[in-house]
Amino acid sequence: MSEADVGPAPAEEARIRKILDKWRFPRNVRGYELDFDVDSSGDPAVYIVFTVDDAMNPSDQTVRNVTDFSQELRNQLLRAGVRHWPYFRFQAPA
Amino acid sequence: MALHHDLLEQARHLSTREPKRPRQASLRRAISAAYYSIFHLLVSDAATLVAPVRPPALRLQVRRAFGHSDMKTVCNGFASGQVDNLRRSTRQLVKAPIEPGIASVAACFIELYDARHAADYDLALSYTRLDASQKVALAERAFDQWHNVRTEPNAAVFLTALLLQKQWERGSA
Repeated sequence: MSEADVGPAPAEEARIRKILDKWRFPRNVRGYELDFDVDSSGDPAVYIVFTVDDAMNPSDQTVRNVTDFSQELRNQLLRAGVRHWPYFRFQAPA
Repeated sequence: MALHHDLLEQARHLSTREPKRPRQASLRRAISAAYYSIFHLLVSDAATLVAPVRPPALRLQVRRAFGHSDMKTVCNGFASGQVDNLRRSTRQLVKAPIEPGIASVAACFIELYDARHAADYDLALSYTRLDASQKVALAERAFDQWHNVRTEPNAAVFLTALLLQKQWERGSA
């Protein structure tokens, strides 16, 4: 796969950011970063890394919330025709 | 209890094993166990579907024939819920629409497949407990969703494709 296939076309990145920026995340989600790469199979991927206040020791509610919104977000991104598969990671604030 | 249930329970245990400062090894193994729980759930149901009870060793032998990356390829087709995204050999067997539960299980498989690979091999990553707990929760939901759709005709196609789609494509080439 060429680098051009892996990196985000400007329209692809803009489409992903538009969906993410409109999303109403729970209050303890501070923000996100996008990392465009290939996944373990070599397929185009976007790793969406959320910064979450209690990521090191999350409450049950936080686990439910992030599982809910990551599934909904993934479905919406796929429906929008995003060709980089969305993967989710959760980090604590620095 | 079946292996897939034990693996899911193990994943849950490992994700909360150290109450205050989770060890990276525990979180990584929790993610890995979450993936293998859904892998063995699907492989178990698929082997039951395609192989008879007797001789008993036959189903076990069938279970060994599943390939992780081939399964991911099949899941990629089903995950969007769009019949048009399926490979032709599989598409002709599926009745639209694909049940959202099947699409969701396929999507969970893909997410856990990649997470397992990173957890086992990417030492540059540092995991939070939320990383592991979200993956375990994802597997738990996949179990529930699968329970609701596993008797659907499209679920039978999905399970069989997990094993045979690659061969079907070879046959149609």
